[in-house]
This record gives sequence, C-alpha cells and structure tokens, in this order.
Amino acid sequence: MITSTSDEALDLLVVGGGVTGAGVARDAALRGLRVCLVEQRDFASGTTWGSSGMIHGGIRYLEHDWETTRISCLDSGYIKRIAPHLLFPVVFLVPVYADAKLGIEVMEVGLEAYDRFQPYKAGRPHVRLSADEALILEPGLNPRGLVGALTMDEWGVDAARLVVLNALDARANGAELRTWTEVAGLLRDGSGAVTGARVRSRLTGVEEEIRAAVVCNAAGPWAAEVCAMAGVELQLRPAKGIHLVYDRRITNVALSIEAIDGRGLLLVPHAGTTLLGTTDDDHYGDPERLDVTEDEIEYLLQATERVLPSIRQHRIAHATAAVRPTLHRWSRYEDDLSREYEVFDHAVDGAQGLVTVAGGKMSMFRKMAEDAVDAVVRRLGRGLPACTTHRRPLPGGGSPVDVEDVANSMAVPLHLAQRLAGRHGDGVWALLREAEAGDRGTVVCECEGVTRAELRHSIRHEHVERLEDLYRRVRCTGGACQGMRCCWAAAQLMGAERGWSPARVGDEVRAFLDARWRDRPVVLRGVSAAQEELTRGALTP
Amino acid sequence: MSTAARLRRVAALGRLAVGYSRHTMSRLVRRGGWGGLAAFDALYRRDRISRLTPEERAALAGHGRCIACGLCTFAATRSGYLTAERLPLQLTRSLPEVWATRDLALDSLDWAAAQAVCPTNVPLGQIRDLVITRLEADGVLPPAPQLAPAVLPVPPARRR
Ligand SMILES: Cc1cc2nc3c(=O)[nH]c(=O)nc-3n(C[C@H](O)[C@H](O)[C@H](O)COP(=O)(O)OP(=O)(O)OC[C@H]3O[C@@H](n4cnc5c(N)ncnc54)[C@H](O)[C@@H]3O)c2cc1C
Ligand code: SF4
Repeated sequence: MITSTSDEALDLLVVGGGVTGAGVARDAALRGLRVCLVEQRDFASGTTWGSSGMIHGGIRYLEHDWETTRISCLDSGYIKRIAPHLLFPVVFLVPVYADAKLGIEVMEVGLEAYDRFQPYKAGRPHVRLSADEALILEPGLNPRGLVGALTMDEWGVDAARLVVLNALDARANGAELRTWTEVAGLLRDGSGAVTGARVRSRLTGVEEEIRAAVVCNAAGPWAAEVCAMAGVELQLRPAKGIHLVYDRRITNVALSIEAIDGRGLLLVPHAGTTLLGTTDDDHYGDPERLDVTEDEIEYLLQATERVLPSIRQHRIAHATAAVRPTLHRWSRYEDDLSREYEVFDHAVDGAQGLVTVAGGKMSMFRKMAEDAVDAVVRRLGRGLPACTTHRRPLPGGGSPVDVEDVANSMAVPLHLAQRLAGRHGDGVWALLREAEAGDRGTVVCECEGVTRAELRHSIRHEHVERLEDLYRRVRCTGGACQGMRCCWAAAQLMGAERGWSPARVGDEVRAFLDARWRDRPVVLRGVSAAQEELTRGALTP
Repeated sequence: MSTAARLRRVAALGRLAVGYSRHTMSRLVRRGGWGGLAAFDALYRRDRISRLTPEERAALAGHGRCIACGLCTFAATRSGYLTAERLPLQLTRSLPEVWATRDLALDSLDWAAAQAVCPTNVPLGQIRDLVITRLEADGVLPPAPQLAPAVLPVPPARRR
C-alpha cells in the first residue's frame, strides 16, 4: 500500500471515482504506476450512479460513421469479456406506430446494419414482429395505430458495481483508494506545473497534500471546476437527465418510446427494477445538488402512457438525477469518435502535469481510460507496458459459475446463490467459505436478497466507509422500500464490524434517511406515501 | 465538420441507402420479415426473456402494492427460505429470475390466509400461480450461459 503522506511523489493522482476515474486507476496500476484515486463521496456516486446502466454499442453512429459503431461494439464486447457476471441482456421492443417519425422499413434497415456489429459484443440479430405478435409479447402495448415492432438487444450492467470492481482491482495492483475525500486545490510549482493536490477528508475534515508527477482529472461534470484549480479553462456543456426507478421489472422487454418533442425515451427492465428515462436539459448549477421536478416526471409519464397505458398504475420507488459531462463541442460529435470524449494534456495551457479526460459514456469507459493513461505515460516519459484492460478479467469475471453447485454445496437458497453470483462472479465461493454458516442465508435487505454474509464481506473487503456505500457495493437498501426496512440492521452490522459507537450508528442512519428522502417525496403516491412518511418518522433516531 | 468527417457521413448514408434497396427487394419476395415470435423465443429462451400473458400483465401492478408490513408472513407461517412476503418483495421482482425459486416449497404456505390479512390487497395467490406457471415453462432449463463475444479482434488501431 502506498503511503501518500510520504515525501516520495506518486506517479499518478486520479481525481474522481466514477467509471472513468476507476478505469484510469485500474489501467495505470496494471501498467505498474504508483497510483492514488481520490473521490469526494463514494465510488460511482456522481453521474455514473444516475446513468441508464447500459453498455451499448452505438447504433446511432450508423448514420455518421460505421467505424465508430464498430469500435463502440468492440469495446462493449471487451466489457462483456472482462465482467461477464455483471452484464445481463436488455432486449428492446421498438413498437412502430403509424404516426412514427421513421417507418418500420427504414428502422429495420438500421437494425439490419447493426446486426453485422452485434457479434462483437455477443449481441443477437434483430427480429421483426407483426402488430399481433408484438401484442402477444407485451400485451400491455397500446394497440391503436400499431404497425409492427422490431427487437434488438444491448447489455445492462450494475454501474456502481462496475466502478467498484475497477477500483478494487486497482487496489489489488497497488493503488491507494480514498473515498469521501475531496480535492480542495491543486499544488503547483513556480513554473505553473501541477505537482499534486491538497485533499480534505469529508468524514474527519483533515487536510493533507498528495504529491504526484501527473494528476488525471476524471471528475465528470466537475472536471471544469478541477481545471479551474490550475487556472485552466475547460468548457463542458453539462446536461441533466432524470430517471424514474420502479420497484420491480414492470415489463420483460425494454420499450423504446417517442416523447412529445420527438426525443427517444426508454423504459428499461434493469435487474429487479425498471428505469424510465431520460430527460436531457442544459444544467448550469452544482452537479451535486439536483432536484427532480414534477414537470420532468410528467414529461416521462405522458410519453410512456401512449405506448404502455398502464404505466401510472406501477409503483415508482425513487428517482435519480445526474449530469452528463458532455463536451462543449458535442453538437459536432459526428466529426470523430474522439470528439465524443477527449483527453487534454494541459501542458499547452501552462499546466504541465495535469491531464483531463472528459465527455464520453460509460460504455466507452475502458477505452477512455486507456487513452488517458497513454497520455499520462507520454507525460511521464517512461517506457511502460501496453494496456491490458481489454483482456484481463475484473474481480469475479475469471470463470463462469454454476449457481446450482453454489446453492447445493454451500447450503444457500438458489435465489440467493443466483444474486450472489451476479454480483461477485467466481468470488462467490470465497465469500461463502469465509462466512459463518449462520450468516450465509440470513437476509438483511429483503428486497434485494442481501445476506449478513455478503454485507460482512463487503464491509471487510470492498472499501466501505459509510452506511450508504453498501447500496453501491451490493445493492443493500436498493429495493421498493429504499432501505426503510433494513437500514438499522445494516448499520448495526456495520457498527459491529467497525467498532462504531451507538451514537455513530444513529448518525449514519439519520444521514442515510435524509439523503434517501431527498428524491422520494416527489415520486411517492397514495398509500405508499403515507406509509413511508410514517416509517421514516419511526426510524429516525 | 471536417472533410474527412463529411466523407465518412456520405459513406455511412450511402451504405444505408444500399441497405435500403436490398431490404426493399427482399421484402418483395419475403413477406413478414425475418423471424417473428418463434425467432424471438429461440433467441431469448435461455435468458428467460419471454412473453407476458395478459393475466400477468394485469396482475403486475398489484405486485408493487406490498408495503412490507409482514402480516402475511405471520398468517401463513414459513417454509424454509420461503415466506409469504418474500414472494412480492424479493422473489418475483425480476421475472427472468423466477426460475431460481424452484427449490422452494410453494405449496406449503397457506396463501389464502396470507392474502386475507394483507392491508393493501396484494394478489398473493395470483403471484404464487404466476410463479408456478413460469416454473413449468422454463424452471427446468439450466441458467443462461455467460456468452462470450464471438468476434474480438486485436484492439483497434490508434485513432489519434
Ligand atoms: C441520465 C443519464 C443516463 C446515462 N445513461 C448511460 C448509459 O446507459 N450508458 C452509457 O454508456 N452512458 C450513459 N450515460 C453517460 C455516463 O453515465 C457518463 O458518461 C459516465 O458515467 C461518466 O462517468 P465519469 O466517471 O466521467 O463521471 P462521474 O461518474 O460523475 O464521476 C466523477 C466523480 O468525480 C468526483 N469528483 C468531482 N469533483 C471532485 C473533487 N474535487 N475531488 C474528488 N472527487 C471529485 C465526483 O464525486 C464523481 O463521483 C448517462 C448519463 C446520464 C446523465
Ligand atoms: S401483508 Fe401484504 S403488504 Fe404486508 S408484507 Fe404481506 S404482501 Fe406485503
């Protein structure tokens, strides 16, 4: 473990623990660099947390540049190869109505073209359905004006877990991880070169300096703020997007929907939830303070109702809001794939030693990280091994898991074995072997099927600092009740593991409930609103 | 837009235009398109991404009414890992994962008693029926294999 308080400078300090920063830290650590990653909250608590959770291949680039689609599909394939346990198929049903912008023939031509690229990511070819067949597949579709439908698939992913696995693999290769620690300023020498950062713990308030030969700014929508610390101007065009998150899968297939302004929306069955999104509005405020408004919710529901008339009967558990770290020149994205994301070496701005990676999408995180680390290596001027992240499995992704074998030999219910294997891959064996027999099948989070064994494992090995981090590790508190039922039990278990005082346990629960409540009242309806207000009142210490 | 980008766009649109003419020709001789429901089922059966019956569609909204009060579990007792409230809360949240309830003794609980005490009228009996139907349809299939991409060539050449 690197002690960053030592006088010896690190090779690389990564600012930001979203998917990009975690990918950069992993790639750099695997190439032998001495790395520290600093994240102001928890891993994946920024934009990555609020994404639609899809690793997609870039069908929309087909109108602009087929090579971009190929590269995008290829990188999705690499992610599928290194983390097969984390990815699950999301099958889209694209219902085509008589008044649609594009007719079914034109749409099918696009999908026929995309079929050629699907094998890169283990995707499957499209299917064309008649209106009657579409209604058999999804009887909830609005039949009026339905001409037919097309299906295609992409991959879904637990975005937070993808980040965590990258960060943990970085740590396993020598990187130091610091969450709940913000970069408060950049250190510069007389020539203006960036030589490290002043960081402050958000938990203790302690400040210290970390020296590094290169600082990589992977702060997503905060990237311009970090650049400003070195007197560099970076122009982003942040765009806010919200999702409504339903308590369960309310459809078996994802639906593609046209909004009133012609934008495309998606209703995506995602693990045990359904995501409905997203909006896309310019955002000028602090990316950390985002509200979901009634207007945004209505915009989504109104559009969805035209395709799935029963949408308002389903239960929304919560809403998410996030800001896309879009490059300012986004409107010219078709220029080049590199326009979608960009790696800036700020030596040209007089801030040698600062590299920024900005823009992009989660599906491209591995490639973005590779390009950013290439730039860091060039700046360091050392000969280092090439990137290996496209073939080296993430933790748990080494070998397929026979879930029945896990259930039988470790004496856990099949359902729990299935959930565990989905999150931990082949790490499920070590997790269960390490666990006390009584913890293996004892559930703490009912909705997500998270056991005491899994929680203890995560608290011990997965860099958990706060109660709310458990959601981004193992989805604890991620179900319909949003943790109202299990937050005390999880906090007590964490307190026991960490030696927290009863007061600290209470503080964690209070902070957790306050944070969760922020994006819930706007979506709660009817009897569940009353019930949950009551529960929250009863639980608050 | 740079000239190179313009050329790439022209090439992309050209290929789509060729695709359109090919598509139109093949539609003239092959009505109905590639696939249909049988093709869909064949592609996604192992993933258990399957049709919803009209009954399932109608019942789904009711599944979400559970407020996790636990009354049904007291009324219906438990059988190993299976409790009444776990059905709506955990075990049926994701239909493609319902197969993993096949080791549970669904008939050992008193579902009528459970439903009778439910304050939000969650259709527990219907959910149990849904699980049984799904298990009959695809419960014995082994879990979906972890597919590897078929084509993964060497990393693409540097673009910049
Ligand atoms: C609504 C929505 C849906 C999306 N859906 C998809 C999708 O389905 N598929 C896809 O591929 N892409 C999707 N995207 C895009 C994708 O989510 C983002 O491109 C990606 O998550 C950005 O990751 P990041 O690591 O660059 O940024 P972030 O995830 O925001 O990470 C940056 C991190 O830096 C930290 N940070 C900031 N300042 C500091 C500081 N001073 N000190 C320390 N840490 C700091 C932040 O806390 C944050 O965690 C979506 C985006 C949105 C908004
Ligand atoms: S009684 Fe009804 S609301 Fe209460 S836990 Fe059971 S199903 Fe849920």
